[in-house]
Amino acid sequence: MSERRYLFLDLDLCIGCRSCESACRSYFENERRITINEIKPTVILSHACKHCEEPLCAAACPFDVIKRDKERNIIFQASFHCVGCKSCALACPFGVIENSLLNHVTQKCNLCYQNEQGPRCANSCATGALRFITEKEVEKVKVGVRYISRSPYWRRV
Amino acid sequence: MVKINCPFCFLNCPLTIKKEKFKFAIHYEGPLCARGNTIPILLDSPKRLSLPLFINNGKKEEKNFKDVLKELVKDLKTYKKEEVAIGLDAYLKEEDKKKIYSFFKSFGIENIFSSYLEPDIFFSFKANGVKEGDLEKIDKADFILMIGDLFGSFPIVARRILKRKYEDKNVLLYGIDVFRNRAAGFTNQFLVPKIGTELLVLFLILEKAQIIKTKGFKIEEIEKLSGINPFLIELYSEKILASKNGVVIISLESGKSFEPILYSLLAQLLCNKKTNLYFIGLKNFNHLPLAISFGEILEKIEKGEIRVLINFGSILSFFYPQVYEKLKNCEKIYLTSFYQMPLDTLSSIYLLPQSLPIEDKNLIPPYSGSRTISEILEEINSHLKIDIQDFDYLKEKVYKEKDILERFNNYLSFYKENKERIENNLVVVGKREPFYFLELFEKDNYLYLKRERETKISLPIKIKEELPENLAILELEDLTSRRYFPISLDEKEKFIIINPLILE
Repeated sequence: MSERRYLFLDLDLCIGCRSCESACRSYFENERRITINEIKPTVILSHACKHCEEPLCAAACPFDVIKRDKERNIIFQASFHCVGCKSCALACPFGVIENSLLNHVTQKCNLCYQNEQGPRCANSCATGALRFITEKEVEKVKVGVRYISRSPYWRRV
Repeated sequence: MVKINCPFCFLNCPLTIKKEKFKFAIHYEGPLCARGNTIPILLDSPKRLSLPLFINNGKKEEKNFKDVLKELVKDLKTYKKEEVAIGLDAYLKEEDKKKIYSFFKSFGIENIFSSYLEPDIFFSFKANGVKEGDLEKIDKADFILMIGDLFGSFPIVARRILKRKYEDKNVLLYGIDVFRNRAAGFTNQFLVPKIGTELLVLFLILEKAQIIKTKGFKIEEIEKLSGINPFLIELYSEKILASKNGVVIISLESGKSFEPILYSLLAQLLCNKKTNLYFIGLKNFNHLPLAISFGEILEKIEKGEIRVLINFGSILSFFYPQVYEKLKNCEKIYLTSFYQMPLDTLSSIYLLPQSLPIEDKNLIPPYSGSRTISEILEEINSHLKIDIQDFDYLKEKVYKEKDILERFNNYLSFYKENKERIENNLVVVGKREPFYFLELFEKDNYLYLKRERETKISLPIKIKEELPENLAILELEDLTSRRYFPISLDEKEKFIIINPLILE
């Protein structure tokens, strides 16, 4: 089994340029698998499938289309067998599964496992905020340090 | 796999395009912004034009490429040279622009103009004594002043700024924009002037730092009009003077400022000999102005002096209502275009399919039916047989401090007259590339955004919380929808200014 890698978003670097969404759309012919959340009109963050330990989407799927790929450590969906019942979209606690209007089937991120370079969204990220890193690398990242240092009130902290 | 340079902005990021089964895909070697990522979609877009079209009052007729070019040659021979105008859009390769300019100049046509209307053309207007810097200046800067929403338009530059900011805690990042944009959360200090007063604020900073001589101006009155806390003006001017190696970066988007030329010029004055700042103007294209402006050409078309118009590159500028109306005075119009365009109300228009700047025989094969600029010019020259010579085509205008202050005085009186109108019923318009697949339309005097993919419900314009009532920052996702926004001619410069639309 290969080492598990995570899609990691560094909030200190994300400027909401939508480059990740554009990269995903560009490859999947206008069907994006990464959603953009607008927290405030000026704070926009990307949001993709978390590939949960216990995926509710897989549990909800009546046709076992969504499964865990143990070798690659991802939750993947065989769209060919999907009937478009939207159960997975309703079950997902993060709301990242979208129903494709064109094909009437759901679209789910598979971390671009066929691509040698890794997920296209992470590769294209303009500021390096979205990264595809291993568990050990995730632990090393100090979240929030830069956020404090960039604030005008950082001396008070 | 083909290595190309992204044509979407002046940064020209290198990228590799590869053909995967039946489609194009980008092979990532580094970061790429949202605009660059749309290249594979644009290459094979179903909206591409593949056959020349003759449009006459709504009737479309498919034509042969050779026949249309023969017709063009016939017109070039029959009409007088003063009656023909050649337009060059920014969305052309630098070599192609030079080729077209030299070709028609050698033929004897003087009316060669730039048909590009975005505000970044205004960076070609230089303030006397401005110190211009390149992006490498950011890496050593101790003070960075960002004017406008450059995080939204140039994320690759944003990466550089954030890297500098995070590697050294002493680096100061300041910003100015008419609303709290995406960069605001990353800055040490962010100044939000009221819409229309951003120029007054820049003027006050210049005055406070004693960079310009402001005799004859009533400073107290300007301070009152701007409504900005004088402490902030003092802080900005203090930091500007204290900086030993700083940069002023400005990115202007269409319609967000009433006087983009003056906005750019005042920002350039900050980078005078009296300060240690460098000026960086971020523009979408490597665009250089020509001797004759679009405004002058439109005036000639109205008077009937120009009867034939030939334009190369994108034709989006012709969708502004004032321009579109004036095109009706032309007898013959030849436009090269990448995509199919709605030009139904005009008569005698030839629409010729043109290859995208990244399409080339050696790189990416041109879209079926489209021709490159070289191919089109060669075909025309096979009939005309012109001896092509090289010409210098660059013209840069330099403003002295006096001229800038005079221009500012004019703006001040404009602002005083229109203060209430600006403060109340106004829509500020921005522009975005078409990759969001959103559409803007007009119904019952209101503008609506239609989200085609997520829902089919029409959404009214979102009024942003940060802005006063009746004010909206609107992003035009579809470029063709810009025709809803009126423009006016700057009488002095003969340039076109995009006016925000009044929402009744």
